[in-house]
Amino acid sequence: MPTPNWAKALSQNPPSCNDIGIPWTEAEAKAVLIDRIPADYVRAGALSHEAYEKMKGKNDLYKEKHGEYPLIFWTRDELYHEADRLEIPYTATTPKTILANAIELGRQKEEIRKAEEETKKEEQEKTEEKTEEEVEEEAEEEIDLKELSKEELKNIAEKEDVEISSTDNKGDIIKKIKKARKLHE
Amino acid sequence: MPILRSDFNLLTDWLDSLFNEAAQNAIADMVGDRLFDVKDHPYYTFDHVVVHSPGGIQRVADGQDAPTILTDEGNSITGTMTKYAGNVPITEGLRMFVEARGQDIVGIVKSVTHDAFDKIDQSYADTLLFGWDTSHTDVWDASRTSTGPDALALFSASHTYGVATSSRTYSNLLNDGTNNDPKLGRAAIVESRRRARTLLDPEGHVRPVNLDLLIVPARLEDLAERTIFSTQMSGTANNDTNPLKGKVKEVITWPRLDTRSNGTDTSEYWFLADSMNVGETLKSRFAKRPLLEPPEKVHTSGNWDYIISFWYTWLTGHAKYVFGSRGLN
Repeated sequence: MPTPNWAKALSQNPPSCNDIGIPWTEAEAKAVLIDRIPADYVRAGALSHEAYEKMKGKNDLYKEKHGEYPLIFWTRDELYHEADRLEIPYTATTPKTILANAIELGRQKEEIRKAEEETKKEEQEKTEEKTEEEVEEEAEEEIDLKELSKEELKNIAEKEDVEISSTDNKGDIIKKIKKARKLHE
Repeated sequence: MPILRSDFNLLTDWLDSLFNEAAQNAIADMVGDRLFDVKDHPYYTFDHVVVHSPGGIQRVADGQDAPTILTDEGNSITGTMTKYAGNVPITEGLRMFVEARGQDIVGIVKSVTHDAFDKIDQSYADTLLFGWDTSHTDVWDASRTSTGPDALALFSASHTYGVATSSRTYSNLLNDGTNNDPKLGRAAIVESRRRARTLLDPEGHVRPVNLDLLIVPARLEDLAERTIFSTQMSGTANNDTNPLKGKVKEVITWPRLDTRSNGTDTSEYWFLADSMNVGETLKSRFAKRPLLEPPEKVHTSGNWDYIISFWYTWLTGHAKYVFGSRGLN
């Protein structure tokens, strides 16, 4: 079983294979090696100079929209820089296409991590909001009880099985009702 | 008289002689070994580097150091040895009734021996026939990468030299002046020979390749011999002499080119090669040549299993010494 030196073939300028283990088709080989269309564009499907120019135009539009070119058109240095940012290990012989794929995956992982962090943050905020609501409810409840007469408070205490004495004033009864409710909770 | 255990050595000698005779005949029928550079190579892998010498010889003043040749190696390819083997079972019945069944023994040894050499030859033929593909299933039913050292198919219009100082390319597709893949004919041979003789090396200098070997399937044998060997122009009414006579030194008819091992009819395919350098393109290495080996033990079946086995690998090197056409146009 013969195996050409794919790494060497890929490292040539222009590369004489599409990727490690993937030869060019005859049309792609002509486009890259004879017509000298950049390999990145041939990989993306541009087999003539017209198609190449058209694809370049589309890429510029893509850059305007997303702030960067698609990863497969990045230079090796740009890919290295991004790989460093995402803490993706690589070597000098890592093919561009493989590195671009790794970066794509790295970015997806980064997005998932960010999304998870945001969800956590939101949940925390919600918990905090809930506490505030409870505080407000309690305050409202307190106001409601204060607005009632002593007789009405005695009736509530009786209904809720709260023991009160005849010497309790209005404030004592409110305190006892609240305490009982808390215990009940 | 039955063959007994004490006759083991006699039987082995007899089978050896049968094997040798069959192998001799099979090798005589082979064509691939005339084109391929076949050598012994007692290592597991065979590395082949297509070395160019860009900047090689230069003008130097008397007393000046000779310039260092750029050691930028060209493309390389590695072949891995693979074992192929077959059983030659001498059953108890064959041994017991050897007077009546002796011919069966001869038949078994001959057929297994021929099978080995036939398949080796077909594997060589398939190298040319699958030369437009980058992978194929070989005659041994194994998936195989069929690219050369430059990672392109054997026959390509964009072959590279793999030298950092040059991105020059070359084609080894037969061409009649208009189309690649022409049918076998005078115009295609003349034009392809012209192109091969003006091929440029990585530095842009002419490095002629002399296509003087026409390789055809059996179907094209007659046309090929008339085109090359006729004293006058074959198939025309004029009396011009045939300039190809003598320039193409030999027509090799290779019947295995008529059908690829996957059953595809390839009887219109034809090839031109440089007889002096074709071995630079087509290479085969044997770690162990086909050999008949006696059994080391007797099985419970009572068979004496002789084994024919060999280790080899084959690959393509620098593609420019063989040009090919599928005969489509």
